[in-house]
Amino acid sequence: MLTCQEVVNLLVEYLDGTLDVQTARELERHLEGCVACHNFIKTYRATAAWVKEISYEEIPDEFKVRLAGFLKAKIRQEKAGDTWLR
Amino acid sequence: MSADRSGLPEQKLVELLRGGEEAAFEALLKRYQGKIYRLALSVTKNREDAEEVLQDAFLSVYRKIASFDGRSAFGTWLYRITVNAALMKLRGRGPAQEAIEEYLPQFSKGAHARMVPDWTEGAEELIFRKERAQVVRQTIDTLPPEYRVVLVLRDLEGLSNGEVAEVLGTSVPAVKARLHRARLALRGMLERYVTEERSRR
Repeated sequence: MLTCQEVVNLLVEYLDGTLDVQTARELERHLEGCVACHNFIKTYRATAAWVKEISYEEIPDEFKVRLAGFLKAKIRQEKAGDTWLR
Repeated sequence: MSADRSGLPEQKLVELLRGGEEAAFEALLKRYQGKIYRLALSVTKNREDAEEVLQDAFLSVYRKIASFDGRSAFGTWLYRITVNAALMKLRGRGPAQEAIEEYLPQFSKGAHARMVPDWTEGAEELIFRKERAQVVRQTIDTLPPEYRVVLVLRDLEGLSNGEVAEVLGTSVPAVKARLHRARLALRGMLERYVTEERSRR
């Protein structure tokens, strides 16, 4: 019989579906009889799903222009052999 | 004006860049700058720093393309350069990260040391979806950077464990372990947030 701690340690693989059938079955048997683990996996799963909902700001247009300009200037410098300017 | 290379497959662009073609470099820049910005921003949490990271990363690509051996995908290589540049930037700032231990589950003789509440129950009504994404993002921002980056690469950018391992220069088991710890800590932080929010309302 798996302990709660063992169940928690197997969660990444269990949720990825990469856990072997035998161990996955033991884990599920444990979940049936353990409310704490049942709640733990439910909240762990929700956490993983909620992460997928977040977003980061798009790259600002003015920065795209600045970046392209910066790189162009650097490349020109390096092509001209002004490596000491780095 | 240089040729428009935006329609070419990545491998071809890399090949042309090796030959020193600037138009190929521009096409790769356009293709990746959005993703790389998000990644840099997620690690540095700061626009100015993210901007500098992008400058450093793309300049490194130009300078080091000859040493790119093509064993991994170009994107993976670029992610790696970016993560390293972003972590380097943070190093200059010194340690200011929250310790995650207090948010990890506690066990006593292998069993949960306390009852785990199902805080997802009713959470939908408590925090609306848009607000929730904000809360999760702010919570992720308090994680140490090495955990943040695994979550972003795996769960947001959709990289496989193997690809994340390549980006971070580590093994697949190490990635899984870090991802697990990051989720455990985040789970604990969200539990505290939802519980406190519930008692406030």
